[in-house]
Amino acid sequence: MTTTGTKKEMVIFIVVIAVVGIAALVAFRIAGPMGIEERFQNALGIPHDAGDVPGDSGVSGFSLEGQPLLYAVVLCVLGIICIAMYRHFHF
Amino acid sequence: MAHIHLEDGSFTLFWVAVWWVIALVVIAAALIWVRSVKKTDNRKITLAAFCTAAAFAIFQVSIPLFGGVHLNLTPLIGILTGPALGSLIVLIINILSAAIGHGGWGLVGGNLLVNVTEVLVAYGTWNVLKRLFPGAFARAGIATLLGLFCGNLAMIAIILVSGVQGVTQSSSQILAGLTLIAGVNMGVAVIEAFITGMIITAIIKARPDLLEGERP
Repeated sequence: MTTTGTKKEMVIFIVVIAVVGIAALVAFRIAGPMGIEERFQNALGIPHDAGDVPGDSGVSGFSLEGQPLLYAVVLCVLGIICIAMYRHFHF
Repeated sequence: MAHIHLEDGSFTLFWVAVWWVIALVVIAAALIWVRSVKKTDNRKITLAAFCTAAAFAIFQVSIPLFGGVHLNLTPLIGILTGPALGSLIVLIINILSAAIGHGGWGLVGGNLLVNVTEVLVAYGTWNVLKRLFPGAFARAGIATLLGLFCGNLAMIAIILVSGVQGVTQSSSQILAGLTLIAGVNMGVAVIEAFITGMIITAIIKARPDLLEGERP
């Protein structure tokens, strides 16, 4: 197999790229300019900054997002699990 | 570049558990596959490490296009490392991303399934199109587009099936909104298709031994 390829396959590739690109531009025109999270919130009808409401701590009783200490704890636990699995399976 | 950009608590605990369990089954299958290889190729492991670092870094870089998007490199991961190592790579990327607040912890299972879909489809397309598209650039580009398109379909399916807590919109309204997101994502997929095509072409020219059956 070669890196360059034939003229025919490049034409097919460019046509596919053009079609997808035009579809994406149409979608962008409809959706409007906004960030990734904002686009998701708009698409799903989630009120903006709903996650920052005080007391909104979910079913677990605490909010994990935005708490560095909890992230560190979860990361440490995952690290320990990885080391245990690595030692057990001898990759 | 499909990724469920929602916070923890968006899905009910039941659906978080469901996606995590399915994701763990996929990871278990990948681990068994990797272990079944008698002698692991050190070059593949090195390549996998580089792919993990590069993809994680590029995952966090917001490109000021279409209002702010990011690349994934998941199709490139699939083409270079295959489905088994690729699944493990996207697991690590999703865990590290959740650790810095890029998507919730509970959504790692769902996001892993989205990214594994991209890896699998890109890998499959890259190999299936070998005869039809002997040139690496166009083949890698089309594999990337198809992989990312299927990743977007997986993202839409996971959100629609799970439902989002605290949302009053109907399923058809959510589907319309997610279709627009997928459409915008495909614009980024075009850029990613070019990048993947160029990287694969460069690798084949410099190190053809890293990709089986390819020559400069």
